[in-house]
Amino acid sequence: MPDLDVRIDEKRFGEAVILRDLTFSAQRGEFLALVGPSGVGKSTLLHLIAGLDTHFDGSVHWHGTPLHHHPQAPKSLGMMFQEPRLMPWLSALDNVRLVLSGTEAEGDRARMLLQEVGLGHALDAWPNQLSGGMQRRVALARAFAVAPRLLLMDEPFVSLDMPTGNRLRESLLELWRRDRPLVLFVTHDLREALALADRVLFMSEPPARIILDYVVPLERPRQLEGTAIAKLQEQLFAHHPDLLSGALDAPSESRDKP
Amino acid sequence: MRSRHWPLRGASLLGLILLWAIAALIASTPMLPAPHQVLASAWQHSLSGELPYHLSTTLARVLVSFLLAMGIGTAVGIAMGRYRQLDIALDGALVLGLNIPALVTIILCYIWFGLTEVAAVIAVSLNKIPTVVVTVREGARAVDPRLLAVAQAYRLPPWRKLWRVYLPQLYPYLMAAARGGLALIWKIVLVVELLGRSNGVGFQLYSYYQFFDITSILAYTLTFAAVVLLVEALIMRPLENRLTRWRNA
Repeated sequence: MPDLDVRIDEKRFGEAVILRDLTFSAQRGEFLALVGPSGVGKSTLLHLIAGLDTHFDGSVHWHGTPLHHHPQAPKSLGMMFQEPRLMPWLSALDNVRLVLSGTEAEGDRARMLLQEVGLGHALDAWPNQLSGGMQRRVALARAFAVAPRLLLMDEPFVSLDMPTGNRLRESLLELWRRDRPLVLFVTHDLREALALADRVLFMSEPPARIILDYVVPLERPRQLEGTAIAKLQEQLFAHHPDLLSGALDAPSESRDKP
Repeated sequence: MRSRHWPLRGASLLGLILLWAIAALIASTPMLPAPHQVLASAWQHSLSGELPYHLSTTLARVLVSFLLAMGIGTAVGIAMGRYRQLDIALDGALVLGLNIPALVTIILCYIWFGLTEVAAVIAVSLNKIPTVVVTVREGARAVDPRLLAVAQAYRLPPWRKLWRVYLPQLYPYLMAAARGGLALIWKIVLVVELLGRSNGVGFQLYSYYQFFDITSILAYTLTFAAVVLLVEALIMRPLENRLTRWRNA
């Protein structure tokens, strides 16, 4: 039985059908990237899985039970949004502690995580005193604070300069290797997906479904700007020229291994 | 930051008192007593225990009405800001509440509930609740759904979500409502006391009015105003600074 089983029969906003027959499953510890043209419903999909939006036909199962009725669901989910979304009135430390119970051990855990993402010196800083990259580090620490079994990331490193983004991606991989949550990482940047993920799911244009489930054949560590990823990207485009526009003609190819 | 303002505040207050003293000197009539006469009168009324008694009675009424109005007004304001249907349903009542003269509410409360303490407090609260609702509703409409989504995604317990995510977004509005509320409420409390209580500053003012004892009237008024200023300086402003310190960091 897969750890996460997503079956979205249909999701619509008013008349517009956003997602249709979108299904995939994943095992604990996997790193999945979701790639597709912008505006295709990637964020919507994460919102459905997170339980932020429950108006859809279909189901999201975690270990065979509907995720949002799962007794351990409260403890199992971490989420990073496109913006850091920190509470401006809470210090960096309190922003991480916000998602934890108030015990002393949990406070130590929050402190430790902030140190691990390189913010040991800024525990008491307000978010508006931190740079964009640092705010995202707090958000990253917050996401891992709950020891997530499922971690949803909605283009969390978008609009950062390359070095800052790279450092954050490294921090993310480091934490992921240690805790091994199942990660769903949404991005419109194929290179970022190839640099991070074990599998890349490509979404079609609306109504969106998964048109390609691609296993990344690269060893870690990988360089986002390296030649291996550039080559892989070329190969993918040579096989599927219309992949990123979401208009793949071939039927859904499962676990396509080049 | 605050301490820089104190000299200016103090100077402005002293200037006002000076102006008053000069005016009293020129007019030189019992209709306008000088500052030192008022001060002496306040001292005497304090020594007799009469002023502290009436002052504390009034303050107690202010406090209870204030808490009642803020509590009910905040709850209704949040609900109206959040639920469109409720907003539409209650909007008419709100406009009515905002426009009914305080005097009407007071008279009706005294007639319906008798000349009692409960009626007095209800009358005052009813006058203040609509303005609290309007202010808080504005804040509730401005609440950032993206921050609430964080609370929801992480399954925060309801109380923590309320105290750490929701209410902090309302603090500026709650502070505005509280400050305006204090000013309005103590004015209305005096009217309520004048019309239907046998103690409190309002009742005393009425007695002195009948004797044309302007010195005592001013002594009571200024003592009360001083207390309100103290509440503002020692409670409201520090509270506001604390709640918004992250903005100025």
